[in-house]
Amino acid sequence: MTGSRSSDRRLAAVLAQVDVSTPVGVLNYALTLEHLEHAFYRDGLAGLEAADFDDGVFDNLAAIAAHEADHVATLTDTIVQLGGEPVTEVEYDFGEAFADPAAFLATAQALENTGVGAYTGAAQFLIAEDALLTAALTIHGVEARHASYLNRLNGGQSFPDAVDAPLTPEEVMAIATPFFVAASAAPGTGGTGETSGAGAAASSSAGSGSNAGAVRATTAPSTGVGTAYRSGGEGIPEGLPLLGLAGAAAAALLARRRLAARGDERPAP
Amino acid sequence: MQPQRLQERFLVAIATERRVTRRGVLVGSVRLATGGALAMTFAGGIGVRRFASAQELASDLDVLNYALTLEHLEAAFYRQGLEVFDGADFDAGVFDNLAAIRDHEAAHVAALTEAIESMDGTPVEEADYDFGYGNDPLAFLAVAAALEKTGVSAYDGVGQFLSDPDLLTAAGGIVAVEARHASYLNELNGESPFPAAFETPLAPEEVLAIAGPFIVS
Repeated sequence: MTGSRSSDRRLAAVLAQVDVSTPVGVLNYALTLEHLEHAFYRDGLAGLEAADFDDGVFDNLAAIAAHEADHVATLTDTIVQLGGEPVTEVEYDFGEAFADPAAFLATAQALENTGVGAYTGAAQFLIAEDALLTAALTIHGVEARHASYLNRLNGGQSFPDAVDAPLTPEEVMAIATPFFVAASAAPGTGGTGETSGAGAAASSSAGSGSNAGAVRATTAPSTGVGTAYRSGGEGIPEGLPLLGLAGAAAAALLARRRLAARGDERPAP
Repeated sequence: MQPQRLQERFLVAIATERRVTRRGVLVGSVRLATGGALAMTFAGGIGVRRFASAQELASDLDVLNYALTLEHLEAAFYRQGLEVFDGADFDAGVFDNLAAIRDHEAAHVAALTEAIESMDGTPVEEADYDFGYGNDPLAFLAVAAALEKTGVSAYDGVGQFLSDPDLLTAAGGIVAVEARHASYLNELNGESPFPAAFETPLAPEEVLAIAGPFIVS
């Protein structure tokens, strides 16, 4: 599989662009994730409607989309005010995450929980910047509210641990990078036309059927998460799937398996 | 036949007992409105009173004791409340989730206490509280939502006063869980789980005005 080596290069290239040694760098790291989240909801919801979900869910998802847009705008403005250059939205491939409402919700869950871990882990880099730290914390809390809600929708625990685990930029980008279209995210590297590993990795196994709408998986599988997220190779930390994120990632995997079992996948956009 | 979704059933329950809910909320509002005045009457020795001003949060220990004061209040709230109510007072699954929250708050108390002691500080102790929910589970849930929201705002307001990066990361891990709780409790109360794009950071004196009235001694 040449894809694995290529994924390693892509992750390394993405990580090379993350610099948490300056306030602008930290904010750009956050903005990179907010762009990803914002594009996910904006583009995903464009292909969905209220009838795809239980009552009230679509409106809540739309509220989340609006929050992510606000986060993007605020971080962008702040970086500009600091004299920095805000990162811009890149091209994403959400693959099978958009194939079905269930897959959309599961991926949303994984993204939100990753976002919480990212902010928890990165707050320390703003410790000398009181105002920026406080602003980042006010975003962090909202991401945690989203994560809690999406855990519920996906049938998981809203608050699986007493203390949320921080994620390092390496851990976060290992999760986010598969959504980046290679040539867009890392110019000059890995330009093989490779498509998203996140969407493609998990679609082959069979699973039980889904009731669609708001997914209610009663249990998260204990296997497969590592496979899905480690397919990029040794760049991904061993401990990652054991964090609170594991349930989210597992739910995402489970949802994709359901899709495969039902055989009603639509082609990726 | 699919069981009705929890939120839907809860919304029906709240609609049915709206007067009860309003009474519960009203009690909370009255207490909140008088909070500022009451807070000024506190005798010394109570943690919340000690930190009436942000200027007093001069050290990491001060910040941790401020957080511990609020965690004590939350821990006692859930511990006492879940002795008053049982599973039959709530929709299926709710009691278990409240018990999980109770355990989280107890874990936060333990972690903060341990951290303060490891820094040779003196951890504040639990006080006596009156949360005013009586035997009304809906009032209990309304107070719970208010406490969690306040907890998030409190941490967000004082994170800037921490100087140790590891403590900041730990506080970040705790406040994220408070926000997860707040999201859930908002929904149980029929409100948006995430009413705004940003949390509202509160200064210690603002938190005191909200939490102070629950502390009786």
